[in-house]
Amino acid sequence: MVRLILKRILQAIPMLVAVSIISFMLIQIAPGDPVSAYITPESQPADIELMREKMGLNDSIITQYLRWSSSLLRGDWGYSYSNHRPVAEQIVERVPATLMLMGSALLVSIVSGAFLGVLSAIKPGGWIDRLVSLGSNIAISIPGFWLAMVLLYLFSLKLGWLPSIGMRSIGVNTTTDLLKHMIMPVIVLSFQDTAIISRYVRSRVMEELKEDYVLTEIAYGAKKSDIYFRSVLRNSLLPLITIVGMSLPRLLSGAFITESIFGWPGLGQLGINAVLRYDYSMIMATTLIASGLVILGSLLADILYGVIDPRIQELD
Amino acid sequence: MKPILTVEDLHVHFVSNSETTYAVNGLSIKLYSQEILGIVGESGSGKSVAVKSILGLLPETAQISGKIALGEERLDQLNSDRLRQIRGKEIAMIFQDPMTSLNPLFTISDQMTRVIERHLHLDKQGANELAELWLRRVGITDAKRRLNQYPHEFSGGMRQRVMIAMAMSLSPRVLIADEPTTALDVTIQKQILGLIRQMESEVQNSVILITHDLGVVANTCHRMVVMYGGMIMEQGNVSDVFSHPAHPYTQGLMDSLPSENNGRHLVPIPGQPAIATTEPKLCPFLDRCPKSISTCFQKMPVLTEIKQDHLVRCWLVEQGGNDETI
Amino acid sequence: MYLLKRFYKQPLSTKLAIVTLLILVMGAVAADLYPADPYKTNIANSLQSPSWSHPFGTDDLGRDYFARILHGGRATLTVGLLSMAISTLVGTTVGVISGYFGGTLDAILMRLVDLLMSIPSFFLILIANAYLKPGMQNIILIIGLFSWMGISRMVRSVTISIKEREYIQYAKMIGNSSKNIMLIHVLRNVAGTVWVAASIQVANAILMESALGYLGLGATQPTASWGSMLKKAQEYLGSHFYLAVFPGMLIVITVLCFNVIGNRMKEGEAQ
Repeated sequence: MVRLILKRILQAIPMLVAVSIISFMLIQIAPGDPVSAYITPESQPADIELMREKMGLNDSIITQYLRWSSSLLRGDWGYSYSNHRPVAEQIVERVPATLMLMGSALLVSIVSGAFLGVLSAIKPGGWIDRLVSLGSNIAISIPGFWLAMVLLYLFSLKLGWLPSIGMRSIGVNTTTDLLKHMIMPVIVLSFQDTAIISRYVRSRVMEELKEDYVLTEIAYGAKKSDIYFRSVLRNSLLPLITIVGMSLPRLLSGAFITESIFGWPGLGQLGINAVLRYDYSMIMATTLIASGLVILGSLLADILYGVIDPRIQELD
Repeated sequence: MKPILTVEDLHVHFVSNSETTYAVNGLSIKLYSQEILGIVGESGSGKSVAVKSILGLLPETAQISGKIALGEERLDQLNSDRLRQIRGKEIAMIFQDPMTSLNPLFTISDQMTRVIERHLHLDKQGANELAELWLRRVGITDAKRRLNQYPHEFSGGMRQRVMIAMAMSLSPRVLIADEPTTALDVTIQKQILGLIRQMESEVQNSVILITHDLGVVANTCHRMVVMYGGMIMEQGNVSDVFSHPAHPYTQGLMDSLPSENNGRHLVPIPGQPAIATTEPKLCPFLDRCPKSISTCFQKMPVLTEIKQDHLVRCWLVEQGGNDETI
Repeated sequence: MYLLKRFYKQPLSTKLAIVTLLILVMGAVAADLYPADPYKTNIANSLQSPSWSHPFGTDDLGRDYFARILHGGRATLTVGLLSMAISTLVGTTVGVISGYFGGTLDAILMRLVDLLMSIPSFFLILIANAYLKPGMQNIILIIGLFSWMGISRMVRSVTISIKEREYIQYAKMIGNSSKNIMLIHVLRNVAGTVWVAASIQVANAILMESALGYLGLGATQPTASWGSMLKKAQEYLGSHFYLAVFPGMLIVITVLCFNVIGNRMKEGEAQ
C-alpha cells in the first residue's frame, strides 16, 4: 500500500515539472516584452538594457526557467501586473473558495448521479430509465453559462429568492447566507457531472447485478433496495473514484466560467480576469495551480481507490 | 412419512424473442427429513434451474408452473415478504463458485451478521458471536480474526466453509448445495462433502446436493435422482441405483466414472446433452441412447417403479425387462 | 436510397436529431436568403419584442434578431464542424501512429496526451485565444488543436486491438509498408470510433465556442455567433429575457442533436 502511494507520487512529479515548463513557456511566447511594463518615455536604451540584465532576461532560457522554478519553490510567485500584489498571496486567498465550490459540486453530482443511476438500472428501459437518460442527454448539452443565466433570471431577477453574485452578502457572516450564495453556482457546476455519473453508475450497476454475490444475497432474503443501495452501489462506486478523478479538468474548466458569472471569489475568476487583462505572471500561476490541483486530484483518487478496495492492499 | 419439501410437476421455460427453451419438464421431487438427496446430471440437465426455482431465484424471463411446498406452505404462491423470510432461514443455499458468491468489498463478519440479524433478530454483538461460533464449527481456526477479513483473504475451500457456516448459522430446515465442490480441488472436495454430511447429522436438517459427479453422490447421499433434459430418468436409494442402474443414461454415467474396484475402462457417453427448444415428446436421451428400441420413437416413457422406491423412465423396463437383462 | 432506408430504421430520437440538424444547417447555409440584414442597425427600433415583422424581436442596436440568429448559427456551426475536422484529424493520426508503432514513440505521445489532458483545456484555449488575434480562423484552430487528446486515446486502443489480427499480420508479411497498412486496414477499422468521436466533438466544440463567445473572446463584432449573442443578452437579462432564450435554446438543441447521433453511433459500434 505504502509502495503503491509512493509509486504514484513519483509518477506525479514529472507531470508537475512538465506543467511548470508549459506555464513558463506561456510567458515566453506571450506577445510583448516583460520590460515594457517598466519602461517610461524617459527611459534610455542603456537603462532598458540594464533593466533586462537585472531581470535576467539576457540569460539562456534554461537558466531563466531554473531561476523561475526555484523562486516558485521558495514561494516567490512574482507580482500581478494589474494590482501589483504578490501573486502567491492572491492565489492562497482564492484556492479555498474554488475548492469549496468544486467540492460541493462534486458531492452533489456523486450523490445525485449515483441515486439516479441506480434508479434507472432497476428497470432498464422503464420510464424512470428513459426519463433519466433524456435528462442526462439534455444536461450534457446545456452550456453552463447559459444555465447560469436562466437560473439568475428566474431565481434572482424574477423571484428574488437567491443572491445573484458573490460568496457572502456584505456585512453578513452566516452559514445560511453562504449556502444561499452557493446554490446556483453548485447547481451549474454539478449539472454535467451528475449526468455523466448517472450514466456510468447505471451501466456499472447493470454489470454488477450479474455477479454471483447478488444471487447469494437474494437467496438469503435481502431486500431489493438493500441489494441495490448497499452492496451493488458500493461495488459500483469504487470505479467511480477513477471517473471522478478523470473529470477534474472538466470540472475545473467549468468552475472557471461559473465563478466568473456568479462573481465567486475563486481561482477561476482570478484566472479569467488575468487572461482578459494580459496579466502574465498571474496567468502562469493560475495555470500551474489549476493543473497542479488536477494532478493532485487524480493522485488522491488513485490512493483512495487503493485504500477503499481491500483487494489492492493485498497486492502490495 | 410426510416430506419436508415437495416439488410437483414443475415446468420451467425460458422465453426470449427468438425461442423458448424447455429447461425443466414435469419434475416431481420429495425431500424427507434428515436425508441427503443427490440430484445428478450433466450441465444443461435442468438440475440447477429446478432448485433455483424453489426459492424464486430465476430471472424474470423464466416461466414457472407446478407446485412447490415447504411442509404445508406453498412457496410458489407466496408474497415477496414471506418469501424473503423463508430464503436463508428455512431453505438456505450454497453455490458452486465460492470465489464469487461472496461480495468482495464486505468483510465476512459484515456479510454473515447482516444475514443473522435479518433472520434471527439478534443484535450486532449476538450476531457476531454466533457467526464466530459457526466459523469455528465448520473448521475455521482463529475464527475471531478471520471474521474481520475480506473474502479474497480466504482460499476457495475456506470460502466454501464460510458459505456453509453462513447457511448453517440460521439452522435452516433445508440446505440446498448447488455443485458446492465443483470449483474446488479433489482433497478439498472431500473435506467439504464431509463437512456437509457432518452438519446434516448434527443439525438434523435435510440436504439437496446437486452435482454432475456420481462419485460425490455415492459417498454423501442417501437417495438420488438422475436428471436429463429436465426430467427424472431414474430415482431411488443410492445403494439400489448403484447396484442396479436401470436406465441406459445412469449406466452410461457409471461407465464414465473412474472406478478403482472393478477395473473397467472409462467409457464416456457419446454426444452432448442438447437443450430442448420444443416441448419434449419423446425420451430426451433418445439421440444418445445406445439401447433404443422402436417404442422409444413413438411416445414418451413414464416413470415406473421397478422395485420399491426405485423408479425408472425407460421403455426397456416398461416392456417387462428387468434390470438384469438390460 | 440506401441512406433513406438506413434513416428509416433509426429510433425516433435519432430521426428527430437528424431532421433538426438538417434544418439548422439549411438555415445556416441559406441565411442570406432571409430578407432582413443582420448588420443593419436601427436605434429607433431597438429591443423590440418578437412580432410579425421581427419574429425573434430586435437587439439593442435594432438589428433583426432572427437574421442575426441565422448568421450566428452559420458561425457557430462552422466553428463546430471545422474545429472537429482539425481535432479528429490530429487525434486519429496520433492515435493510429501511437497504437501501431507502440514502444517509445507511443510512450512519448501518450505522456504528452496525459499532460495536455491534465491542464484544464478551457483555460488553455482561453490563454491561446488571448494571445492570438481574435477572429474565426484562430478560434477554429485553437479549439481544434486543444481537443484532439481524447480521440487519440480511443483510436489508439482500437488500433492496438486490431493490429494483432491475422489479416494485418498477413499484410505485413507479404511486404506491405507500414504506411499502406495504416492507411488501408487500420483506418478502415478505426473509422467507426472516429465517427462517434467526431460527432461528440462537434457538440463539445460548439459548447466551447459559445463559452468563449460569451466571455467576449469569440467572433468579433459585428459578426455574431450564438455564444457572443449571449454575452450581449446578459446585459438585458432582466428586461429582455428573450434575447438570451433564442441563442441559448439553439445551442442546446444543436449540441443535443450531435450528442444523440453520437450516442446512437456508439450503440451501433457496440453491436
